[in-house]
Amino acid sequence: LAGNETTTNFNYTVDYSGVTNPPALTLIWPQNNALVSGCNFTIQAQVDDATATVTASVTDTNGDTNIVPALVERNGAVWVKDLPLSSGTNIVTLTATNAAGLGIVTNFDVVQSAVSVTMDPLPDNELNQALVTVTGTVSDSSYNVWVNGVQATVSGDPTWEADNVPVNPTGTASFTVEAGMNLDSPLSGKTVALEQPSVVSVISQHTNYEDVLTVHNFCDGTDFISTYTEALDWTMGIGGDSWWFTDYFWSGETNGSETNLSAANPPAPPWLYATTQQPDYHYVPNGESETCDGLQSDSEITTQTAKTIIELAAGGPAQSGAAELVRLTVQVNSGDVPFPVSSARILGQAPTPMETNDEVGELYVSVPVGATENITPVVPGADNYTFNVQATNVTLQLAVDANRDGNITFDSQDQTTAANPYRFWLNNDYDGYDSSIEDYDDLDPSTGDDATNTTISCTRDLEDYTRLWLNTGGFVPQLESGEFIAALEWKSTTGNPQIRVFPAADWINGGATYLTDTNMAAAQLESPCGEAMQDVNGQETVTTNAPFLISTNYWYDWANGTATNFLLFDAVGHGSGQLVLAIYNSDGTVKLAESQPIYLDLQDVKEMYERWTVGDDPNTAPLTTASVVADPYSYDSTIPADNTYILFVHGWNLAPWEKDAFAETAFKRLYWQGYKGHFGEFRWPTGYGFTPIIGTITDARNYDNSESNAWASATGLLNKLNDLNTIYPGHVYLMAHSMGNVVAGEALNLASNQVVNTYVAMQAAVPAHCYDSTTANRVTPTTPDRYAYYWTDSSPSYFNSSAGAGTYVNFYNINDWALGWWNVDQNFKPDEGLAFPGYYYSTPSDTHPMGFYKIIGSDDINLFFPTNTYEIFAYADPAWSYALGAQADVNGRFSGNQVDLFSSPYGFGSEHNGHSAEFNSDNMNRAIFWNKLIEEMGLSQ
Amino acid sequence: MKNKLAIFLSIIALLVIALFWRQMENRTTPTAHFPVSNALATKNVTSASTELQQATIHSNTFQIAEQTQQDSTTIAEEKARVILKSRNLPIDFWGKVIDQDGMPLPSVKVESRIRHWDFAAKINPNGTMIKKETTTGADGQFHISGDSGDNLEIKVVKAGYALEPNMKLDFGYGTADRFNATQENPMVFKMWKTNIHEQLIVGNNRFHIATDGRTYIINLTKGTIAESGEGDIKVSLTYSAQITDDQSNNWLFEMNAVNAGIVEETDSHSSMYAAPEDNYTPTFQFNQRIRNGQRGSTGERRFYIRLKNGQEYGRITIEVFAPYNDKIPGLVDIQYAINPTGSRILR
Repeated sequence: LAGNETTTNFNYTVDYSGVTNPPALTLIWPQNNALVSGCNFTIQAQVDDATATVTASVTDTNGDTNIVPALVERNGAVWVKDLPLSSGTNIVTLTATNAAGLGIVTNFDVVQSAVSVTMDPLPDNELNQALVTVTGTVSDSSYNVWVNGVQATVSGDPTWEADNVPVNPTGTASFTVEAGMNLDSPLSGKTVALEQPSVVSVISQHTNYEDVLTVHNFCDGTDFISTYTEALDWTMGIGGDSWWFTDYFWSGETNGSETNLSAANPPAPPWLYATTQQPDYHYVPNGESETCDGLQSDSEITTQTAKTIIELAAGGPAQSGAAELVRLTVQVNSGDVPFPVSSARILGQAPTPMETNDEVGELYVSVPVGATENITPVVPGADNYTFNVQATNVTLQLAVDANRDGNITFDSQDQTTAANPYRFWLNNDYDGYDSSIEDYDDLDPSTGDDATNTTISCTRDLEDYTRLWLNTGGFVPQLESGEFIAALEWKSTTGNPQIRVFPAADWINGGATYLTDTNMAAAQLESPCGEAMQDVNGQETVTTNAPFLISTNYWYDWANGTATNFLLFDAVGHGSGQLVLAIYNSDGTVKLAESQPIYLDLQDVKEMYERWTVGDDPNTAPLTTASVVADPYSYDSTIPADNTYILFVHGWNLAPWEKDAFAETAFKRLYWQGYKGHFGEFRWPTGYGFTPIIGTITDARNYDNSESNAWASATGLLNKLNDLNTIYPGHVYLMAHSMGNVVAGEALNLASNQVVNTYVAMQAAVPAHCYDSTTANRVTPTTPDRYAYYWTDSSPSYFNSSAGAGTYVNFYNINDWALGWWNVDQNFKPDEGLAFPGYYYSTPSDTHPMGFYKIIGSDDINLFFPTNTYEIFAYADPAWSYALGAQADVNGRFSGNQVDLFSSPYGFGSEHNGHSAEFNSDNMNRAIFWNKLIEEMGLSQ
Repeated sequence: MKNKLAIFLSIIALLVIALFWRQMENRTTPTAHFPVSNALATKNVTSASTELQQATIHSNTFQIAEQTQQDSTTIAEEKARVILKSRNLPIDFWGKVIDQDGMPLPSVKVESRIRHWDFAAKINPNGTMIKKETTTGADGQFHISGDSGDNLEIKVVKAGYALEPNMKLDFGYGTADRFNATQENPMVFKMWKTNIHEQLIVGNNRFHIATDGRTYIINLTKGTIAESGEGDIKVSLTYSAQITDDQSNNWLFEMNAVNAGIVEETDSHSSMYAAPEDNYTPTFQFNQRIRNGQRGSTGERRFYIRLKNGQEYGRITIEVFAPYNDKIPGLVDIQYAINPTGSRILR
C-alpha cells in the first residue's frame, strides 16, 4: 500500500472588493514641526490594520531622501527607528498600505534642534513608583525643561531634574522630555524633545490563587471535582491597598461576582501583600450542609496554590529573536521577619534557584523584546507575607565614541545608526621600527600587515585601535562564574567585517589616554592587554561566523566592579554591520538577551580620505589637472563630514605608497584630534627610492629634478584648490611638508585670489627669502638671490604677493636634519656640468642677459625670468637664506605665525627622524603637534 | 624628505656621471662661478678630456684633485668624503651650570655628543657621534672643544639635582641656530635641587571672546572667564576687518593684571620655574595690521605674573587668535600655573 497518494486541490480567491477603506494611521510621536534633539529619531504610530505595510521617508534640506520600512507589531503599534535627522527641516512622509493596496499618507515636519537634551536612565528603585524623579542634561541652560508635562529645575551645569513625574503604572512607561526657551509651559511654543521617548520596562503584579476542590457527596456517594480561580490583581502604586477579584469561577455554578477584599494592613509601597495558603475552606453548596450516615457532606481542598506573578514587559518594538535580560530582586517578610527566597518560577518552567544575598533573592530572566513574561517567586513555607519584587532591565549596551568628542556615553550622543554608522579604518598598515631613521614609522605594507598580528605591535600601532565600552548591567559576578557568557556578535552584515578585541589597560576609566599618554600606551602593549582576546573556543577575531564568547578570565582579570567595562578593538575585516553584546547561557548555546546594536562600518583608510595626483612618475612632467587615485580603494564620498577640507602635500623622496602612508598618518592623527572635516592628499611626481650609493648613482641630480617637478606641479595644485574652494568656500586648509612647500607656495603664489583659509608650512624646503628677504643670509654667492628679489635687485621677494591663503603659518625647526642637507644642495647650484644639461651663471651680459644659462652639447641656452623661473630655481639659483622650515621669525606672509618645532613641547630635535617627526614616532609623542596644527588652522573648538 | 642622506650621495653620482658626460662631450666648461663661504662645500667640476677624467671640488677648506683612471666608486667615495667633511665645523663651546638660586654648580658631570660626518665603510645617516665627558669647575663652567661636527648635544648630571626641563641642550652649527657659548658669555644650564617642589594650581583653557574691545576677566584660580566679577587678568581684543590705507593697525590685544603685574619671558627654553622678584608691569599690548581673510594671532606669549598684590606668583602662556573661525570670533588659549603660597617657586 505504500506509495499511494491522494491529492486534493483547493482554489481560493482573494477578494478585496469588500475592502474599501485604507487603514487608519495615527501619529504618536513626533508631532508636526517638533524640534528634536540629536541626529536620529524614532517614529511611533498606530495603525488599525496590523497587516498593513508602513514606510517612512525622510527628506532633508539637501533633498536627500531616506526611505525606511516600519516595523508593525501584531497590535498595530508602528515603529520606525533610527531615522536620520539632518539640520534644518526634515520632511517626513509616513505611508500605510493595506493588503488591498489602499493607502493613507501622513506628512509632517521634524526640525533638528541645535539644543541637545538628554535624559538619564531611571534608577532601579524608581521603576515601580507612581511618581519618579527624572534627570538629564540640556545644552542651553536658558531653556526650560518639562518631563511628561512636569517642569524641571535647570541647574545650568547643564543638568536638569524633574521631580514627581507621573508614570504609567503598568506596562511600558514613556517619558517625553521637552525643552523650550522662555516658555511658561511646554505647550505654548516650540519645544525640543529627545530623539525618541525614553522607554523603560516596568512590572505589573498580581497574586493568583488556584484552588482545586474535590467535593464528596456522602449522601449519594459521588465525588464532584471542580476548580475555580481567584485572580487577585494588585494595582501598583495607585490605590495600592486593595485586592480585586477579577475573575471568580466555579465549575457548575454561576460565576462569582467581583468582590473587593481589603487587606487588613496594606504594606507601604513598594511592598505588596500576598497569601500563599488560606485556612481550610469549607464549601457548602447552596448554603446548605447535608449529613448522610453521620458524615457531613463537605468540600475538601485537595490542592491550593498561590503565586505572585510578576509580569514583565520588555519595552520597544517587538523584534524577532531579540530578548532583554531582566533582573529580579525579591524580598519577603513574614510578619516583620525577612524570609528567605530560594527560587522563582518562570511560567511553564521549573523553579529556578535564586542567588540569595542578605535575604534578597536575585534572578536574571530573559524576556523577548516586545513581549511579556510571567514570573512567580516561590516562597515555600510562608503563609501570609509581604513581598517586594523589583524587576529591572539589565541594560546591555555597547558604545563607541561615535561623535568623536573624546568621551563615550551610552546615550544618544554616541548613538550609531544604519545611516550613520561608526566608521573606523582597517588596521592593515605595517607599523614598526624603521632603522633608517631610528624611529617608528609606517613600513612597506608589501612586507607586512598589522591585520595579521594578534598583538599590538608597538605604541605607534595604537592609533589604529579604538575603544569599545560594554555595559553588562551589573551582573559581572554571573559572567565571572560562568553562569552567563557575554558575547560579541555581528548581525546584518555586508562584506566581511571583523574585529579583534583587547582588554583596555585603562580598565578603570576606559579613557583614550592609550593614545596620548606614554605610560598608558606602554601598559596597553603589555600582556595580556597587548594580545588579542581569545574567546572560550579559542577564536581571536570577532567574525560573522560565530558569537565571540568572552571567557570568564576577562571578567575575573579586568572587570572594574561596575556595570561598564572596557575594550579596545582594531578592524581586520572589511565590511559593515551591527555589533551586539549578547548574553548566553552557561554553555553558550542559548542566547538570553542582546543589546541594541552599534552600527560599524570598517573601511580601508583609503576610502576615508581623498587622493589626488598630478602624476607619480618622476620622469614624466606633472599634469595640470589632478586625477583621483582609486587603487585599491577610492574615496567614499558618502561619509558624513564637516564642511572643511584639509589638503596635504607631501615632500621629496617618497614612493607612492609612502606618500599615502604620510597622508594616512596625518589623517589618523587629525582624526584623533577630533577633526571631522574632509581630508585629502595631493600627490606630485617626486623622485624616490634613493637608498645609499646604488640608487643614487643610477638617478643623478635627483633632488633638483624633483624640485623642478615640484615647481611644475603648482598649477595642478592650484586647480585642485580652486575646485575645492568652490565646494567648501572659505574652508579649504593646506598643509605641506618639506619640498611639498615648493608646490604649495607656488600654487598660492599663482592664485589670483584667496583659495585657502590657512596654509601651514611644515619643515618647508623652500628658501625663507621667498617670503622675507630680511632673514639671515646663509651664504653670499655671486649668483643673485632671486628668491629675495624677483627678478631684479630692486624687486620684492618671490612670494611677496602670495594671495592664495588668508593665513600663513610656519612650523619650523632651526636644526632640522634634512634642511641642513638642503643647504648643501643649494650650495651646489648652479648644477654645472653634473649631468645633461649643465647649468651656469655668469655676470649678466649680452651673451647671457640674465646671467643664467645651460649648456647642451655645444650650445649655450640662456635662461630668462619669468619664462624659465622654475628651471632656474630648481637647478641654477642657490638660496642665500636658510630654508623656510629652518628659519625663525619669518615676516611677510608668515609674520607672527611661527611655531618652533625644535623646542619644547614639540622637541623635534636635530636627528634624522626629526624632519618627518609628525609622521613618524607615535601619537603619544606627536598629538601635541597635531593639536597645534588644528589650533593654528582655526579648527579648534 | 626621507633618507636625506641621498642628497649628498646623489651629488656624488652627479659628479660621476658628469665625468662620463664630459668625456663624451669633449669640451671645456666655464670656470667656477660660486665662491664658497662659511666653509660649506660647493661643487664645480672643472674639466674633462678624452684622456683625463678629473673632478675637483673647490671650497675654502677642501680641494681635491682626483687621480686619473679611478673607478667611479672610488671617485664617488672621495666626493662623499669631501661633502661630509664640509658639514663639520669646529666646536668650541663654553657652558656654565648654576643652581636654582643662580649660584655656580661645581663638579657637575657634562656629557656631550658631537655629530661628526665622515665616510666610514658603512654610512650612518645620523653621522658619527663623538662622545666626550668633562666636569664643571668651581665657577660652574665647562669647555668642549677640539672636535668638529654640525651638532652638539649636552647632558648635565649631578646627584640631588635635576636639570630644568625645556632647556636648550642641542646646538646646531651651520644652521639658523643662534646661541652664545663663549668663555665670556657661556651657555647657562640651570639645575634644581630635586627636593624643591611647590603645590601649584594649574589650568589649560580655551575661551571664546568677542572682538569688539569689551573687557573680559579671567579668574585663574577658577579657570573661568566673564565680563564682570573678580579675577586676575583683564583681556580685551579689538579687531576690525575694515581698515583704511592710513590706518596702521586693525588688531589690538590688551592684557591687564588685576592688582598684579606681569613680566614677559622671551627665552623659549626657560621653564619658568622661578618668578622674578620685580620688573612687573600691569599691562601687555600687542597690535598689528592683518589683511582681510587673515587670522591674527599674538603668537605664543609667556609671562610671569604676580597676583593679589604680591601674595601669589605664577606663570601663564597665552595665545590669542582673531578672527578665529566662522563660529568663534576670538579665541584665547591660556595655560597657567599659580603658586598660592606666595613663593616665587613655580616648580
